[in-house]
Amino acid sequence: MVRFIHRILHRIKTMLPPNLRWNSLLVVMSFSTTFIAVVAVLMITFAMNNRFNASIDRTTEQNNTQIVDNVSDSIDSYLKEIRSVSDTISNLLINYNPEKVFNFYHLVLRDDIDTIAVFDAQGELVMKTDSRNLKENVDIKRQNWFRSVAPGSRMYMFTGPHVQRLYKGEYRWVISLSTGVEWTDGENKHQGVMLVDLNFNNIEEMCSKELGEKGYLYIIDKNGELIYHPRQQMIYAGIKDKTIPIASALDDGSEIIKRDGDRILISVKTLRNADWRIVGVSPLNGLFAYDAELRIFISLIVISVVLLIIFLSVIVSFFITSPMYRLMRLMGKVEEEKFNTYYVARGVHEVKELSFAFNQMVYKIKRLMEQIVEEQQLLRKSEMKLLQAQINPHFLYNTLDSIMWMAESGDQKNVVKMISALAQFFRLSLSGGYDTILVADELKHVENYLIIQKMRYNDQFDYEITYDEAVLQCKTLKIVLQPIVENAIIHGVANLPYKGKITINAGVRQDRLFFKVIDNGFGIRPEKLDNILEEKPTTRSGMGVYNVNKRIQLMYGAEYGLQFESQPDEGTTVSIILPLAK
Amino acid sequence: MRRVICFGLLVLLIVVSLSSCTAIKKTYSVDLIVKTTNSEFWASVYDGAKAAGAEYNIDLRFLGPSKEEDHHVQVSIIKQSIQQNPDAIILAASDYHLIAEPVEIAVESKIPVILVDSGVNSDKWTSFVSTDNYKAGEVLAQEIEKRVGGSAEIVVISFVKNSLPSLERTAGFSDYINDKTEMKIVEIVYCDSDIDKAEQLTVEILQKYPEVQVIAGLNAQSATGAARALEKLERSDIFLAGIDCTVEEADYMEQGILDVAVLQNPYLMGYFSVETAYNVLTGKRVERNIHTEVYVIDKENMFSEEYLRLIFPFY
Repeated sequence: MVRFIHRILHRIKTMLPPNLRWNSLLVVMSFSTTFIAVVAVLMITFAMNNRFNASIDRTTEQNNTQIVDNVSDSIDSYLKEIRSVSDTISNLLINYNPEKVFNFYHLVLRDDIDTIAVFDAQGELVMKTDSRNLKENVDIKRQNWFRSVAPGSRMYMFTGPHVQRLYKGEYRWVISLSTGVEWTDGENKHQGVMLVDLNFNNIEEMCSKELGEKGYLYIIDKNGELIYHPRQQMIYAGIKDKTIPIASALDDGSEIIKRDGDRILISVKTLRNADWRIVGVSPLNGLFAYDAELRIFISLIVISVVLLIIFLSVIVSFFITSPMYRLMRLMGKVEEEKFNTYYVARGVHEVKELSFAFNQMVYKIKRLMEQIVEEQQLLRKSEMKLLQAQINPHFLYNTLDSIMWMAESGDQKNVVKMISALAQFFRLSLSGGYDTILVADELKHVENYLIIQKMRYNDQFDYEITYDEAVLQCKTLKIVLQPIVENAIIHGVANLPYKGKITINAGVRQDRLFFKVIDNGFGIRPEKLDNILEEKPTTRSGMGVYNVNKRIQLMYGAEYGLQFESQPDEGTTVSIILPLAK
Repeated sequence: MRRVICFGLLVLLIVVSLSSCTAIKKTYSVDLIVKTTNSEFWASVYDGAKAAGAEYNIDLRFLGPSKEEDHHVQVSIIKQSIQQNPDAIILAASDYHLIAEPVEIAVESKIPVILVDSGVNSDKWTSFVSTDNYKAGEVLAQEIEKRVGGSAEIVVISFVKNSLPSLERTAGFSDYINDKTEMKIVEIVYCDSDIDKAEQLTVEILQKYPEVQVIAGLNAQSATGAARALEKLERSDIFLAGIDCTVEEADYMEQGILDVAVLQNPYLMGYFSVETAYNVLTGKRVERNIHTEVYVIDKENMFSEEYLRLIFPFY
């Protein structure tokens, strides 16, 4: 299964354009910003929900406490009222005046009082305020309400709900107020118990106060026994209200109880006129259960914000990445050596910077390429010039002229020597068209030249060639020595009043190949020496030296080339510095 | 892989926020069709059902014929109810055979049927909330054995011949009396859940079997009718045992005419039937048979707190 998904993903991956691949900046940025934003939105929603719930909790708590207070006040005053009815009757009763009692009762006739009756200490009926007859076999003395106060004690006691069974066929649920009463009938003092039976009409009405959407009020006594509950019969049938034991353990006030994942607010208030406690219970479901419309509304907001974020993050990512993809395409073109591409900067600052740098780079590459082409052309040009210089008609004419004179004078040996030197000289000059040759060949080339020139200048100078064995197999740019030597002969030793000397030395110093051409000629004047390589010379041999330096630098860079040292009337040393290459 | 997880998380978040919208509590409509709406017993069932309805957000309709023996009226009420297409039907079948067809029609119309108190000759119903009627009959027989015993002659007043509780109670009662005691059932009569008929039958029985010591009324109407007859004839020496205890019967019990009663808990039956309907509608697993307890009451314990609450409905 996992492999199958992987294969599907791979298929999708290969089908997508590169800017929609999983690891592309567009996708990574869209996903990460969306993810972060969604998490943030949900966290905010969650936090707000919590805050909102907390404030709902507070409001509910205040509300419930107030309602419970109000209800307990009204029940309190109701019970007080019933007690005052009882008090009034017992006061009227003191002189045993049933007439007054009847009159009073008819004044207060109320539908919440079921029975007002007085029984003597033996449980015999003394008087009743209505004409219903008691059932024959009713045993008053065994009933709880009768036993709960001592006859004549003037004590009050409210019983819990019970079925009153004074009348035939009537079994009503009532709450009884028993009061111990006394009265004097002529000479006889009597003690007894007065019964006031309350039905639940008023209590039910008082407890029917709305307590939130699913809240309710009930009454328990101090032992947690139920007095009144809006679902009394349900509890009697065996479906327990789980909040009753909790509420009976609580002190007066409000408390939030967690039960089976539900949060319930329970507010308790003890009455002043009975051992009863009013309990208000309301579930705290919070914002999302509070109001279905609000819940839908908030969910819609969250969803639309999330969708908006997804949309925006894709747009932003696209805005950022699309110039980069354009840049990438342009770079591809540069790879194909199309250097006239440049990028019109658009999009975010960084991409603009990047494209600016890219344009610079492309421009530089273009310049460098042009420079290389130019340098190559120059190199070719100077080589051509060099070759032209080699096959200089003057040199050839003069040499041939010298040979002719030698031949005429019958100096056959020298003729052979000169011709062979000339032949070798030209062969090495050409050297198969290669730019670089072995140091050994270069030295041989310049030696042939010196042989020819020495003969032509009638031994006006001597020469010496020394070298490290190691450098013979190294490579050098060809024909670097000959123009220097030519210059040394013409400007150095040719017109000396004494015999000149040219020394050529090849070796390695500081990992570089160097040649030295030393003459003991007139030397160069310091002011000329300073810019001997900068100014384009006018003489042919000066031009040769200039060209050598130029060729070396074009080939290897500015750190290589020629160096001049000269003392007037002492001589000149020209160093040729080249990279060491095998 | 990490990307896949991230993507999955994202989808999850969206799904969670979407689903939070749809989790709005639904109000269901349920029809409670009983044997007769004119009975204390069924009023109590309805009370229990209403309490559960308030608890579970259920709109309840209380339907039924005015007379229990009007089986055909109940059939047409069920059919009308099916027309209304409620979310569920809670049904107390007045006839074991006759009501089977409408139950099947309801189930075919995708309306789950929860039976309360009385079953039908079909197995298409979803759940059955009732007193264990066989056990109720048996307990009644046990109590008679305990309190009368010997070789007493017993007349049984059952109620509707073809209703399941009637059949089961009669069976439970007769099985115990015949197998475990020396007592003898001399006749089983049917009052069709009519108090006057039960009264009439009692008078006849007393003439027919002067030796009879025990009358067992297998439902409220049977026992009430018998008690009325016994009161009029001043025959409190006859041991009267009943199943159910109405307020009228409680009075007879206090007077000593009704000697023992096996109590059911109709309120709890009503409550459980609606609770079961809610569980069915919300896709929870429900038990196929749910039994409520039976209790034995007599003159001595009827005013104890526990039984007081079951005998006298609190209004």
